[in-house]
Amino acid sequence: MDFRLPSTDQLLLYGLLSCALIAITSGCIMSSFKTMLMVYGIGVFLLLLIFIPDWPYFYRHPREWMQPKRLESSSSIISQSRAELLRSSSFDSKGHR
Amino acid sequence: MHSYALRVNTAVTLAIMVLAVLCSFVSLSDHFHASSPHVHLEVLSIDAFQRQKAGNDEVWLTLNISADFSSVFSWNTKQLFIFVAAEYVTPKNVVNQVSLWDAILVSKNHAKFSIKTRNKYSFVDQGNNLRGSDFNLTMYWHVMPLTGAMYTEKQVFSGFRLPTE
Repeated sequence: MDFRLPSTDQLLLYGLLSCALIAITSGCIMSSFKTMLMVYGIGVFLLLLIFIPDWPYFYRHPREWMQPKRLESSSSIISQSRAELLRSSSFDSKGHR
Repeated sequence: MHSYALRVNTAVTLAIMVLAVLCSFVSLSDHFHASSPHVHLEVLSIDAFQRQKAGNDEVWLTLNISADFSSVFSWNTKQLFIFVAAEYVTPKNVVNQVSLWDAILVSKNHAKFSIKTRNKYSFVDQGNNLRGSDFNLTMYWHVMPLTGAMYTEKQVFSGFRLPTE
């Protein structure tokens, strides 16, 4: 089974939902709305502490971005359509009229 | 998630939305709360029965109000607004409701009480139809929650009569 770690925003959502669950349980047990809000507030604050500052673990596995390719061959679609435009109308090589 | 602003924005928005869902669950939990208040109302005496200058009847009563609302308070209750209303029928108006006394109960500790009091607000009729008429005393209570919608219930005590003279 291929397991991939959830992305940051998904982790944040799961963290918030579990905070909410813990908060509502503790509020029900203590029968106090204030307790629920305080537990939720502390949970949210801890989550913000984990996710917002630039911690080193965010740099561990950088995503590979593709390098931009230069338009060399005339067989590419973009260069073909550009050639058509140049032939068909009075546009110059830069695309202006 | 590449900048502070984006992370703060996402996190705070999500936290507030989850809080909204949390509050809706809390207000739904009020449906499972069983409340059984005990109320007793009676009229101890009719102190004065006058006619005002404009021709309207005015009555002053002494009421004995004893109630125990502590079971109505749940974890989602902010306060309870209670009032006693006199209801009667006249040839001119089918329904007349006059509020005689009210109170705000802020917590469970204040919820059990028993007082003998004159009506706080004047009991005035539109016209002079109060001689010898029957009236009901109804105790209404509005439950104001911390989150969610307010609801109101009542208990009717009937069989009171005003004197004929």
